Amino acid sequence: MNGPKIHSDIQVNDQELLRVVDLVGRLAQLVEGGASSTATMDALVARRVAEVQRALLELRLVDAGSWCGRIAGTLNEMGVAVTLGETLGTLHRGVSTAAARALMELVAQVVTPRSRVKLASTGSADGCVVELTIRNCRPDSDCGPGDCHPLELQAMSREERDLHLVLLAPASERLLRMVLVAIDGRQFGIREDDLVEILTGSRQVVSRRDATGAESIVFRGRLIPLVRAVPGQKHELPRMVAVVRRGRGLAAVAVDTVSHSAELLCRPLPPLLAEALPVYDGQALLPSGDIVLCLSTSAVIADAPGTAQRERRQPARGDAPLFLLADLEGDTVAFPAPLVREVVSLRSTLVGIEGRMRTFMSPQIVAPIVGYDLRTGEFGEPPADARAGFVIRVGQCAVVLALCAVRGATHYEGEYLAPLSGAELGGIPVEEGRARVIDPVPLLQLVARRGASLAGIRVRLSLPRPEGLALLQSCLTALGAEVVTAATEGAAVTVHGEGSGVPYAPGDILVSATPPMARDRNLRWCAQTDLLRLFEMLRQAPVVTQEVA
Amino acid sequence: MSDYLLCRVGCQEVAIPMACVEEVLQECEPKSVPGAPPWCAGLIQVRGEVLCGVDLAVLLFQEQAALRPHALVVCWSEGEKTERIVVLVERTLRVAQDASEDGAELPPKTPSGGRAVLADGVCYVVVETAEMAAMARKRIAA
Repeated sequence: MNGPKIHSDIQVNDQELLRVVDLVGRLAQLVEGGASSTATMDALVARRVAEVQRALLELRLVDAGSWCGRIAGTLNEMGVAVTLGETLGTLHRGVSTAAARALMELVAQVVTPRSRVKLASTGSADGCVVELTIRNCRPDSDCGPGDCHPLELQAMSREERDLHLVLLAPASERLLRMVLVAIDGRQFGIREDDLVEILTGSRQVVSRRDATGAESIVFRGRLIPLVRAVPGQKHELPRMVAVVRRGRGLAAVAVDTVSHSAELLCRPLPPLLAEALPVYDGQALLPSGDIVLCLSTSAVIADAPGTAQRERRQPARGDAPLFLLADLEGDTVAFPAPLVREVVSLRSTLVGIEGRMRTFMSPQIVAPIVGYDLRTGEFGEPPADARAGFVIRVGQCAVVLALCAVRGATHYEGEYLAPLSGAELGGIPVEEGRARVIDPVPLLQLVARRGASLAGIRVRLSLPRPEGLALLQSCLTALGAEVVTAATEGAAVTVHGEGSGVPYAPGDILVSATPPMARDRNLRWCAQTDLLRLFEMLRQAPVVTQEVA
Repeated sequence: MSDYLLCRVGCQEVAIPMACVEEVLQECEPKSVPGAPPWCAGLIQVRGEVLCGVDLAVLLFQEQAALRPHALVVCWSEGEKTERIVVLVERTLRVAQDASEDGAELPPKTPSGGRAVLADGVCYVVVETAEMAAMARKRIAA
C-alpha cells in the first residue's frame, strides 16, 4: 500500500508507537470476534481501549505516515481486514486526490461492518479537504461522540500537502487542562476550557440575594447564580469566584484561591461514587500523589439555584432587562436597573434637610430623598424606616429613591401581569409572590423639573496660582461637574450652574446644580460635607470666590 | 473448605472471603470527598489507581469509623467486569478456614445479608463484597 504523502516533520517515538500498534492490533482482533460472548467481548474491548488510551496519552507526537503504514500493516498481518460493503463504496465518490485515495485504502481496513462512517469533502484554495469520522457503534445505539464504543478515527487530508489522522478514545479518560482551585482547604479542578473569568475582591464579587434567597452576582450586565459547588461548602462571602460556562449556561463558583493550571489525566470516579456524586466529573492524580476532584461544569450549572426557572423564563431570548428588587413597606418593588446610578445606604450617611425635603449628602452626591407611595403610585415623602436608596440622575440633577431594603436583582421576561393596584403599576413574578414595578417616568420627570428649577450659582474665581485651579477642577469633578476646558486667560474661570442661562465659553466649568439657597445658608449646609470642607480649604488658599450678580 | 480473612470491624469480627482479597495495605490516607455518603471514607490511591474507600463499620453497623484503619483491596465481579474497592477495617486478625458442618444451626443473616461461618469454633459473619457493594448502592438510592 502506498502511504499518504507527509510533509510535516514530527518527532517519532518508535518504541511507544510500536506499543500502540500492538495494542490496536489486539483490539481489532477482539472486535473481529475473538471472544465467545458479547459481554465478554465488551469487557475485553473496554480493557484494551483503556490500554490504548494510556498508550496514546503517553505518545504525544506521532508521525502520521508511520501511523498509517504500521497500523494498516498490522491489521493486514492479523487478517482482520474486512470486506467492504456497498455503504463504504459510496464514500469514494467525489474523492479524487491521491492522498485521499491512499487514506481510503487505509480506512477500508479499519472499518468494520458495524462502523458508522461519515465523510465530508470540501474544496478549498489549498486543494481537496477530506474529513472522515469512523465510529464503532452498535447499529441500534444513538450515542454521542466519544461516549460509546471503542475508538473514533478522524482523518483530514489536503492534496499534496499533509494528512492528519487522529485516533480518539472514549471520554472516560481525558487529558485536560485544569485550573486548580482551593475550596474549604481542598483542591479541586475546573476545566480551563469552561472557565470564563476569575473575579476577585469585594468590588467585583458582590453577591446579591433574590426573592428566593438564592445568591447571584452581576457579571457583564447579566445576573448569574453564585454556586457553592462542593457539597457542604461554607456559606460565607467568597473571596473569589470562577465564572464558568457550558453552552448557554453561566455560573459563578465560589472559591477560596486559584493556584495554577496543569494538564491532568482526568479519570472517572470509582463506580460506587460516580452514581452518588454527579457534581464531580472525575478525579486526577497530581505529581505529588494528591488526588484532585474535577468539578463537572454542566452539573454545577444545572444544579445552580433557579436554573430551571431562568431557563423557563428566558427560553431563547437575549439578556432580559435587569430590575433591582427592594422592600418597601412590606412589599417587594422592582425598579429598572439601568436608571439606577448607585445604591446607597441611608443609615450611615449624613442626611440633611433642604427646606422641608430630606436631603442625602455624601462626598459625591447631594440630592433630595423622595419616597414612593404604593397606594397612589406617586412620589413624595420618604418612609420613616428608609434604610437604602437608589440614586437616579438626569443630567446634573439627582434624586434618591428611598427604600426599606435592597434585596437584589432579577431579569424580567417582558410579560407584565395585570396591575395590582394603582393605575400604572404592573407586576412581575418573582419567586415569592410578585414584585411591583415602579414606573420610572414620573420620577425622571420630577428629577428633570427639579433641574430646570435650579438657577445655579455663577461664580467668577480669581486664581492666582494654577495648582488652585487644578484643585478646584478635581473638586468640581467629584461633585459631578462637567469641565469643558482648562482655564485660559489670566487664570480666571467662570463656573456656571445648570439653568443659569450663561453661554459656555472656553475655560468654563459647568458645576453640578446645588439647591437655590441663600449663600450663607448654602455654605453652612455644604460645610457639613467632606467635599465642601475641601472648598473651604480652597477658599483659604489664595483663591477668591465672588458671586456674580 | 474456603479461606476467610478475619477482621475486626467496630465491636464485631467479620470474615471476608480470601478469594476476594487482593492485598492488605499497611498504610492508607483516604482523601475525603465532600458530599460522599457516610460509608465512603474517601478516595485512596493504590499504585496510581484511585479506588473508593468503604468504611465497613459505618456501612454494616453504622458505627463510628476507625481512626487508624487497616485497608484491604478487595475485588468482585459484576457481570463481566471486575470492580475493586478498598475496605477499611479496624484490624486484620488472621486467616481461618470454614469449619461449618452440614446441618449446623447458623445465626440469622446480618444486615449485609451475609451468611455465617464457623472458624476455630467461633461463628463469624461473612461479608460478601458484591453484596457489600449492592448495599452501598442501596444506601445511595435511599
